[in-house]
Amino acid sequence: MPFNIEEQEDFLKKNSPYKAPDDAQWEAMQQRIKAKTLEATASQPKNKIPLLRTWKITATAASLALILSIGYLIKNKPEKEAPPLSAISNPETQLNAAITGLNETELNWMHQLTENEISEQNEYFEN
Amino acid sequence: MYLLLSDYSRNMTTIDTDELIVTYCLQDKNRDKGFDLLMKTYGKRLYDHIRRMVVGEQDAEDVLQDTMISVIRYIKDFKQESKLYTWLYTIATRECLKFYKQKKLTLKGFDNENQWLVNTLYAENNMNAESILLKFHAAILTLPEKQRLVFNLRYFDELSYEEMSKITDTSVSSLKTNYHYAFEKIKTHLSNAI
Repeated sequence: MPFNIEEQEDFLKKNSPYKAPDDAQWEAMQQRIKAKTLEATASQPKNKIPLLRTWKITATAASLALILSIGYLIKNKPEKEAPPLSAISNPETQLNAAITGLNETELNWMHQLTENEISEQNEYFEN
Repeated sequence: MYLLLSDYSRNMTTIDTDELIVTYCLQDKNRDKGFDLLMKTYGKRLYDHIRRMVVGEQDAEDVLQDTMISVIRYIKDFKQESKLYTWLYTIATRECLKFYKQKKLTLKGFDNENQWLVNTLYAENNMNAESILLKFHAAILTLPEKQRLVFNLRYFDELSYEEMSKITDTSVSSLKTNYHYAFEKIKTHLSNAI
């Protein structure tokens, strides 16, 4: 026989398999919920101010520490070592310095070398 | 005439009580009075609704707890355009759906939500498993989430489709369809089970 929900409606609506808490249990549960609810809703605005204050203090302290450390670093910044002369001078100056230090024999050899190279290069381009 | 007067006075009383609840809950010094009045007026209805949705006794208490926290926290935003209990049902329903989501994240077996709920129903019940009442509620728990919600609100809480529309944010026609399908599924389920 198929089940007829309409015929049973009254019974099904008015009864429940869920065990409802009795009066004492309901009262106890209500008190538990009340305590937690009031605590949760009351603590929110109260906590806001100290939290904001704590945040401000932390931010100020951190900023101050940062400014001080930057100031210290700038003040105690190590001066850069003077680079060697060779690094500063341009190639022309370097060449002049090198030539000045040569004796006459070395100078003759240099001229000879340069002339030979130039003539070799000319030959190459002519070919 | 008597009936009309009686209805009128009952409606007036409800409206007065609702206003009193809202007023008390908004005042720091009277918030606990407001809470007591709220629980006395709507607590059991809300608990029954939540219990039918989440099944477990402890889970129902937790969800009711979260519902009450949300109610007290946001009662300042309650625009008295709808009835207070419609607004309360909306929050309770949202908390139930949130509970499902959280369970899905924490419990592996909760992927099959319906079976989990049916198992909880049988586990927490001393009633004979063959009882028609138990089978009826087990059949409700096998429905998809939306149909279960619509069936519970309509069948047990006897809310109008307009009220249910506000609570679930769904059109009336969609609710009617959902209820029809839910009702037919339960009938089929019970016919097969008996």
